[in-house]
Amino acid sequence: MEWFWVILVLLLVGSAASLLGSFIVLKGFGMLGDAISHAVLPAIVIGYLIGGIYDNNWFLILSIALAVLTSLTIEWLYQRTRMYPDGIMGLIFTFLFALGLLMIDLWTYSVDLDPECVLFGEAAYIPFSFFLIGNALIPKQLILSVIIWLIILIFTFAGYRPLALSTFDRIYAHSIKMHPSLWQYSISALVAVLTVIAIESVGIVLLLSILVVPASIAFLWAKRLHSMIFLAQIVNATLIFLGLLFALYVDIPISAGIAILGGLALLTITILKKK
Amino acid sequence: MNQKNPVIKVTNLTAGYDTGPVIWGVSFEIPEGVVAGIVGPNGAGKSTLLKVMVGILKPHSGTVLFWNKEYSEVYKRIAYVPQKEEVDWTFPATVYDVVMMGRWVHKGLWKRITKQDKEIVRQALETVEMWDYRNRQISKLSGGQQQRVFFARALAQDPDLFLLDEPFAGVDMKTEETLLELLKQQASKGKTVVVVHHNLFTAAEHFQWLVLLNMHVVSVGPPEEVLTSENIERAYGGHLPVLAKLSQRLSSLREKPTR
Amino acid sequence: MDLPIHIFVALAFIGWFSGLMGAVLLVHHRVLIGDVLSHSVLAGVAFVFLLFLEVSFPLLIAGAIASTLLAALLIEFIKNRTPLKEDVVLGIVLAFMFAIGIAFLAVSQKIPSIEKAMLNTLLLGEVSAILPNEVPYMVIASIVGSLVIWLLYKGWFFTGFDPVFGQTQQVPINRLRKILLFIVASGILLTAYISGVVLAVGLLIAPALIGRFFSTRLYSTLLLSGLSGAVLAVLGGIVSAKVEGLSTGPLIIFSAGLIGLLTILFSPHYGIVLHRIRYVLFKWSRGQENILRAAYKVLERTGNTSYAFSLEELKQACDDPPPSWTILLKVLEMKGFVKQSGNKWLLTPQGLEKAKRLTRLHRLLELYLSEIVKIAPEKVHSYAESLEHIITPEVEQRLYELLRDKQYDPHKKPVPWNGSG
Repeated sequence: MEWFWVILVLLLVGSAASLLGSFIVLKGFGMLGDAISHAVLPAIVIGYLIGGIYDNNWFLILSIALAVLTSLTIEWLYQRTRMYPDGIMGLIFTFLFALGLLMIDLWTYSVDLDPECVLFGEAAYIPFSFFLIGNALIPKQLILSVIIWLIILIFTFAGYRPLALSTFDRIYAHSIKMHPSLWQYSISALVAVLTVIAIESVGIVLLLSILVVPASIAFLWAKRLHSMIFLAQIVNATLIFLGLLFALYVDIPISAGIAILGGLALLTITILKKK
Repeated sequence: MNQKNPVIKVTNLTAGYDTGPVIWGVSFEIPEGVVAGIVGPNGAGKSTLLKVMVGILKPHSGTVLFWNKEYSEVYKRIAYVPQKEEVDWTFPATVYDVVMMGRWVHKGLWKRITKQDKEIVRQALETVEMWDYRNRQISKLSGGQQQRVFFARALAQDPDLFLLDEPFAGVDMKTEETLLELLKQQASKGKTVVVVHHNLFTAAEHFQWLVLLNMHVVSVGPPEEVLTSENIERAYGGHLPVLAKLSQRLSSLREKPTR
Repeated sequence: MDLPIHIFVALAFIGWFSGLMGAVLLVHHRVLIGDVLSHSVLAGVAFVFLLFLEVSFPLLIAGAIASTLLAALLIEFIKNRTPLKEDVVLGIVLAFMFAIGIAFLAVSQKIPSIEKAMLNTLLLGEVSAILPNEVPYMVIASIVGSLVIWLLYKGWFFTGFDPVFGQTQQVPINRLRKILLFIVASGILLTAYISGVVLAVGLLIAPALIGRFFSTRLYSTLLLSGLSGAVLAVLGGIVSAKVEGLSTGPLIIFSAGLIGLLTILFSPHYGIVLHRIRYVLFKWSRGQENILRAAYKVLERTGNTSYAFSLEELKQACDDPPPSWTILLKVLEMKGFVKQSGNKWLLTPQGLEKAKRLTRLHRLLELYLSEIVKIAPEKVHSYAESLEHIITPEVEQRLYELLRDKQYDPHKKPVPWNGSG
C-alpha cells in the first residue's frame, strides 16, 4: 500500500511538471525553471516555520503566495533586464537559495526540512503524514498533488491555444489580444506552486529533471504540439516506473534514480537520432 | 480610391523604446482597397510603427485609428504578419496547424473548430499553393514556403486589413511575385493591404500608395507624387547612386498609363 | 571561532580566480553554464572517492575535471545533435550529472570509512575544512588559471563581442570557446570547495556583475571582478567565522549576493537608483530652464524687459510645464535669476541674460532641424523642446557658427543674438 501512494504521488507531480515542461522546453526557458525552483526556498521555509509554530497545515498557502510572488518578480526581472538577464537571474536565485538554507539552519528545530531533503527529496517518506478524510487515511502529499495536478491539467487544456500561439509566435499572439505575457507569467507561477508542493517528495533536482527531460524527449519525436504533450506524459510515466525500480535495485535516492534514467534516455535518443 | 474614408488614420504618433523615441510625430492616412507600402531606409522605424499600430508597443503619444475605431475594438478584422525571423520554426506543428491558428482569433479559448473553419483553412492553403504540403513539419520549409504559410494564416483569419512586416525579405523571386499578385487580388476585393518594405526600387512598382518614412513622415500619397528626388533625398539622405537609379525607374513608370 | 590564516589565503586566491571566470563567462552570456559545471563536480569527486576510498587533493581535482568535462561534452553534443535550445540542454545535463553525484554520495554513505564527511561538505561548502597542505595546490591552480585567462585577453574580445570579425582575423573562435569551458570546468572545483557545488555559481556571478557594472571596458571589468571576488570570499570567511551554527557556503553566497545586488542598484553607469536620481535632477533643471524661457516669451510680447509678470501669464507661455512652479520659482530666486514683487515676478539682469541664451538656443535648434535636417516646421518645436536641455556648450558654439546670419526662426520669431533685442 505504501509504495502505491509513493508511485501515485510521483506520477501526479511528474505529469503536472511535464505538462508545464512542454512549454518551458519550447520556449527554451529551462534554466528559468531551475532558477524559480531554487529561489522559492525562503518562501517555503517561512510557511513551514509559521506552520510548525502553530502546528497548522494551512500555512502552506502562505508559502505558495510568497513563492508565486518570488517567481513573478524573477520572471519580470528576466524580461525587463537588458544587460545580462542570465547573470542577474543567477545572482538572485543563488542569493535566495542561500538565504533559504540559512533560514533552515537558524530554525532547524521548528522547520521540518533539511538541505538534503530540499535537494533530492524523500519520496519514500510520502506515506508518513496523513489527512483523515471520512474513514480513510490519505497521505497529505497525495491530496496536495492531486490538487496541483488538476489545476495544471485544466490550465493546459483551457490555455492550449494562447499557450501554443504565444510560444510559437509571440508577436502575432499579442496582436490578436491573446496576452502572451500573462500566460508566460502563469507558467512561472505554476512552477513555483508545484515546487512548494513537491519539494518534500521529489526535491529540486528531480523537479528540474521532470520539467525538462520528458518534454525534451517528446519534442525530439513529435511532429505536432498535442502529440508532443501526450508523448511527454507517456515518457514521464515510463521514466518514473523504471527509475523507481532502478533506484530501489541499486539503493540510491528515488529522485536520483529517476533523474539518471531520464538523462540516459535522452542521451540514447540523441545518439540514435539521425542528425 | 475612396480618400474620404481612410482605413488607417495615424495622428501625431511618437513611439519607441526605453532608450528614446524611434518615430517622431508620425501622421498619415491609408485609403481603403489599396496595396500600400511603408518604405524607408534601415532604422527608419518601419517595424516599430507597425508594432505600435497593433498594440504590441505602447506609443509615447498620438493615436492610431482603424475605421475610426481603436485597435482593441477591431483587432479581429486585422491580420498582422510578423517578420518570419521573429518566430520559432522548430516548433512542433504542421503547416496545417499554423494556418489553423488564424481561426483562433474568432474562437477564443473554448469554441470548437467547425467544418466551416476547416474549409476556410483549406481554401487559404490552396490560394497560396501549399495544400499539398499541409502535413509537412514547419521546420522543413524553405524561406519562401514559410512566408506563404504565414500569409495563408492571415487569409484564414478572414480580415479586412492585412499588415505585413517585410514579407519579401529572404524569399525567392517567384514567391515575391505570387505573394504580390495575391495581395493585389485582396485589394481588388476591397480589402486593404499594408506592407512594410525596405527596397525603394521595387516600391514604385509594388504599391499604389506609399508612406515614405525616416523617423518622421517624409511624404504620403501615390508613388508618382511621393517618389520625387527631393523626398528621397530627405528620407535617404542624398545618396546619389540611389537617386540616379531611381529616377530611371520612375521615368519608365510614369510612361505607363496611370492607374 | 577563529579561522587560521591559511584559509584566508586560500579564500583570497580562489575568490580572485572565481571572479575572473565569472567575468569571462558573463561577457559571453554563458554564466549559467557555470551552474551546470559546478553541480557536475560532485559526481567526479564522489566517484574518485568510491574508487580509492581515501583521496588526496590532486586526485580530487582529476575526478572533478573529468566529470565537469564530461558535462561540457554532453552539453555540446546534445546541442549540436538536436534542435533543443541551449537553456534546456543546460537544465537536462545539470539534473543528470547532479543526480549521478547524489547517487554516488548515497552509495558512499554505506561504506564505513573515515573521510566521507568530506563529500557532504562538498555539497554545501565548509571553509574550515580546508587543510593547510591543500592550500598550495589551490594557490597554484588559481594563479595558473588566472594567467591563462589573462594571456587570452584579446581572444575574449572577439569571442564575446564580435566572433564573425574574429573569424575574418583568423582568431580561432571555436577553440577559444572550448578553452573557456575547459578553464571553468577545471577551476570550478576550487569555488565549489568553499561555497559548495550547489551555490558555487553565485561566487562567479556576484563579483563578475560588480566588475561589469562598475566599469565600461573589458580590461577593467576583469580586474575589478577578480578583486571583488577576492574581497567577497574573504569577507564571507570572516562572517562565517563570526556567526556560529550556520553553514559557511550559504553564508558566503548570501553575503556576496547581498553586496552584489546592492552595488548593482547603486552602480554609477547602469545602477537603477542613481539613474533615477539623475533623471529627477534633470527634470528639475529642465523645469527651471523652461520657466526662464516662458518668462522671456512674456517679456518679448510686451516689449518691456523690466515687465513684472504674473504666474498665470507664465503658465500660459510655457509649453512644457515644470514639476512644480512654486518650488522652482523659489530656486530661481535663490540663484538670483528672478525677483518677487508682490504677486508678480521680475527677471533680474542675469536672469534676462540666461533666458535670452536659452531662447536663442531653442530657436537656433528649430532652424537647424527645419533647414538642415528638413523636418516640417510645425514639428520642430517639440523636438527642439526635448533637445535643448541636453546640448553641450561645444554643440551650442557650432550651432552659433553654422546659423550666424539667421535672424528669424521657422515660426518667424526673432533669434535674440547678443546686442539685438
